[in-house]
Amino acid sequence: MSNTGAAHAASHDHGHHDKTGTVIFGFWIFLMSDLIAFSLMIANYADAEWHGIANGPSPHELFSLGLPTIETMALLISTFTFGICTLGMKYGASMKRTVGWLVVTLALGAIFLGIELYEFHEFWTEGNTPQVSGFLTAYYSLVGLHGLHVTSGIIWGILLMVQMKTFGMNDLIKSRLVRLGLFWHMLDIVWIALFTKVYLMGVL
Amino acid sequence: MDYINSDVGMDSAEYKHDMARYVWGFALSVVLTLAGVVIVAGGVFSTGLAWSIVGILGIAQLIIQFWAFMHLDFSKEARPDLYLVLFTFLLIILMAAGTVWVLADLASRMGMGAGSM
Repeated sequence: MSNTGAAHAASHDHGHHDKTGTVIFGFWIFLMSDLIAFSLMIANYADAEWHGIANGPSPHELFSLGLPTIETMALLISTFTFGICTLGMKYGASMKRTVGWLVVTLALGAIFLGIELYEFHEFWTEGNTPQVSGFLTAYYSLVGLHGLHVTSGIIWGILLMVQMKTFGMNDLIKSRLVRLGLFWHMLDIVWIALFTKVYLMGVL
Repeated sequence: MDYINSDVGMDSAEYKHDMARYVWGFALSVVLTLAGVVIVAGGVFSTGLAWSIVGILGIAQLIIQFWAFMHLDFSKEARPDLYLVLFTFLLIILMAAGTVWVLADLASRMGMGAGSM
């Protein structure tokens, strides 16, 4: 710990490692609080789907599996490409390679978001707006909240690429990329829960 | 464990070992997702059974993704994360199950029945 404040580039600076570990654990705590928020939105959705259909369509009438499956695959591939990105970064890949995989990841996230907005648009133009029933309110809020997270992740990734170009790949930027990676993997985990509950169980 | 820097390069055994974990996580996730879709679209099982299988496939995929992509395991390095995640799931079970219970009880007292199900 004697060399804190010096030799940031040296990979044997233990004081610096401890700080990175603490910062990443702190980010885990944020992710878990976000997970609780999502789980309560799912609980609210589960009740609305059960008692809140009113005169609107039921999940069975509204949903089909085609587009959501493609959407899920896009997000799944994007979480894998983010893994390739951060793993290469850790093992000393060039910045060009790291940025390249990040671009692929964010593009897949944009495809996911595009399909989701297309589906929202379809439902909306069919007259199935949020105010039709408690179920539809819960649907738009739950899936929309996840979509907002994906949007934030894309903006965050673009800002990070600007920082990479400006400051280079220093330890702080690397730590930020790892945290965005955790955020992105968490989004995929949350989507698995949403896909299972909303679409798979909804179509059944 | 160092989160951001390694002493060895991308041709090392460590890199290949770490990459294998991502490949396994991705492959298993794809298989589990498609299995869920096939079960729902196929309509071979009764609704109740299909509902249970799809639920179990979803939970399995959550565990696999926590392991593969977020490096959650029983190692010493991952233990603080593991305890945090387990505590979070305890809170989630209490709050989410409690919410559904209270709302369902309220609905039944209002004579709403079970909706369209």
